[in-house]
Amino acid sequence: MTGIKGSDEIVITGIGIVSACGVGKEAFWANCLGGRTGIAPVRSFDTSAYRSHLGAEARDFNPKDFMPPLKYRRMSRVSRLAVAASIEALQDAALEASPQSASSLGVIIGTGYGSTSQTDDFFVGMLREGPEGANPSLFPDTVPNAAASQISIYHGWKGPNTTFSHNEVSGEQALAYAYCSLQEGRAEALLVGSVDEFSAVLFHSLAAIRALSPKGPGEEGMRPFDRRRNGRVLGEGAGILVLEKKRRALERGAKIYGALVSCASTGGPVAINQYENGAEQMGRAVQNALKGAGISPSEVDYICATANSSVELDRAEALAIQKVFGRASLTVPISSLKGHIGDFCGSGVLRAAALLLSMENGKILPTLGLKNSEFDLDHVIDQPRTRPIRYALLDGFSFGGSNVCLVFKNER
Amino acid sequence: MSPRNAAVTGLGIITAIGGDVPSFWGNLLAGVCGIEPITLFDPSRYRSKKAAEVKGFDPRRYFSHRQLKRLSRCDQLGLKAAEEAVVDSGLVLAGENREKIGVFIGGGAGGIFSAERYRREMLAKGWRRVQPSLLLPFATSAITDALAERHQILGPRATVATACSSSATAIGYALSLIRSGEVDVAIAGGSESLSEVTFGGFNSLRSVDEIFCRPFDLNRKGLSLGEGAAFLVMEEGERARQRGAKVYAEILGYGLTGDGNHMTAPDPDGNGAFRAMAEALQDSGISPGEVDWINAHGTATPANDLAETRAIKNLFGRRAYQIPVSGIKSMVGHCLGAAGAVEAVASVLSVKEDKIPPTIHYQTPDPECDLDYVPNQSRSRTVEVALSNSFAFGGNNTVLVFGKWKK
Repeated sequence: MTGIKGSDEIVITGIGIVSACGVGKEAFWANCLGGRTGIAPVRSFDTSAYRSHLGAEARDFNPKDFMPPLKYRRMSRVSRLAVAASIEALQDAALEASPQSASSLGVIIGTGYGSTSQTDDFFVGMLREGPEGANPSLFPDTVPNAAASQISIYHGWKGPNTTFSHNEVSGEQALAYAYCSLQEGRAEALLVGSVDEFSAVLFHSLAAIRALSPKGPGEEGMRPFDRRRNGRVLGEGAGILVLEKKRRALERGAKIYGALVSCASTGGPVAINQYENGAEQMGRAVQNALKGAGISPSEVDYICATANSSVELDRAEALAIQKVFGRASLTVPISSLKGHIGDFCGSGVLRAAALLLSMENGKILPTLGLKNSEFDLDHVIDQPRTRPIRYALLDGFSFGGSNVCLVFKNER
Repeated sequence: MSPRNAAVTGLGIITAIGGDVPSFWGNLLAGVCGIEPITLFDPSRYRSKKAAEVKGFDPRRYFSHRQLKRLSRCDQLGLKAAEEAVVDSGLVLAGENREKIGVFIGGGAGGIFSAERYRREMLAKGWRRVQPSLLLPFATSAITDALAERHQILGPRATVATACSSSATAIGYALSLIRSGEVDVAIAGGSESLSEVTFGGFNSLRSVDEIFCRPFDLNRKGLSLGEGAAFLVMEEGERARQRGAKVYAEILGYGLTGDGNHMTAPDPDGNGAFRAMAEALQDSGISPGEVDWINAHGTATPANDLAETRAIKNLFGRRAYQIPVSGIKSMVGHCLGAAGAVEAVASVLSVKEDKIPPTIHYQTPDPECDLDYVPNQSRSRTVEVALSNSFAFGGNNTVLVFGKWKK
């Protein structure tokens, strides 16, 4: 999709974050700058039956800090995470729905698996006790669109409402569709986010299909781009942004974090659940995103990588960046946030939120866990790097071959 | 330069009343009911024991043993229907610019039918004895990736997961990207298989009719679940014209709204549905006076059908009584993630053939639902413009508008 300029630009005016590395954007940013990671031994259930024991659980998250118990009592964890982040984002954007504006305010969410824990509870109840064991109060939140629906119910936002569920680019797809809808004039402002929860059943499933670190020999851990990386560490969280047209944001005197200037999607013809052979189409997504923004690779000040410590994805991403950026790949800083927040399907908008905070503060977060890189890239390691950011690229690459890359621009 | 529009050049479908487009359309017009006793799992302990199951589908006819290990029933149904649509379009995808082809799919529970088996066996035997490959196609997007891989498609893809309106939204998104020029061709639709989780879920909410669903009837008691898949090949209009493609209809526009009201109950006045229809018409450049047929969401729950009827009356005023409104879920059941695409295929055929499918099982008029629901008999009538409604759990509403192709 081609980029747009001027007052028709789409800008971000609110950020909400719930993560293992901090609840609320202030705490998140302070923890990230302090070099803290959200990854730790799993506490919410017993992992002794598995080879993997680490996770990034949002332990500091208490829904009560955001809303009264009556509101969240019937929500699954994934809905609670998302609604909480949306409350922060809306407060940050100082935006409230009025009866006149409600139908022009929409919600677009991405989630990989939705409420895995509640779905499992519901089904196990049925398996154990038959139809009588099916708890009707659990069922509504088992649908993947529950989080988006709960957000719209909570805030009374009645405009376009939809949910994308596409593996690790669920959030990036939500952003791409939000961009498209705002351009088409389907809404005035959108809450756009992505979310997934850490649950025993999801951890079990990923362990069963051997999708978690340690795959093969070596110590368990999240080490994006590192030679010793051996798989992903599961995380959870929600990132929610408020997107609106620049004209509208300026009219209401909103704070502008940055503009989303381009989105590009491509598909790699790879098998479901695999990253292999995806580099070429990943590269084309990057290239098209830069083209849409009207910039050359050397104008990019920061690449927020997808790299999740899996052998194949990190290699494919590095190859794609090297191919598109050429010599500039040695001088454009790149880092992955997965060492802070863990890896989960609905991490895309949380990564976008972190990118915008990097842009605001002129600080690029390091790739935690990276010691000895396999790839010749300008990695940010150990310490945050101070650097003004005009343009930043968000890579979104998923197993199964779906790629969505986005370019953000500093408006200051 | 006139704005880019989207032609429907290929259709594919598999449902309880037909494993391909001709048999589906024939049975739909004949008022055949696909709601029968469930065979996919044991329903004996449930109050309701029926659903519109796809019967006689032998996946081994279409997929190798190796492929089947990675495909859930949902994926199998979807790939079969998508294949029919691609063949029907006459496009040889291998010879096309595959960077400009997109795949947009709506789903619901995805591979949960496989995951369910895993969970059942895990509880019975312990997890070390269960085949983990049952979990591989769990994601709703597995079908999207599998279809793209099959045809080596390199363009954008997306998977919408808004339960009952998913695949209608996927078709809408495809239209947006054809208009914007991001793609020239889109394979769009949806797929869903029955599963015990969804069946048990709707049963637990007491929203299932034990006999069969009776949309808009006074004695309606709830929905009947269904399963199936349906796909459209959508193509930029000028391109379809130039290659002399057979065009079924044009997708004129779509509307998307949220009720922002309740997780399971529709807005009682149908306000979200009303706005979705109004926006869809506006997006299409069509006035309410031009609509010839409404393919209703018509789940046959007491609340939905009333809310939908109110929304139609609010939008069309007195003219509402002159517009036929059909509830085809009375035949194919509620295919959830695939419902929007199944109904889109019916709408496209209706516009092409000037025929309107009936609402079957309609016996007793409801004084509050007093529109023309095309009871039990199909009709011949010119359909210049058809509206297809899809309203989901959580108040996610999508409306598609189809119109005759103007050569």
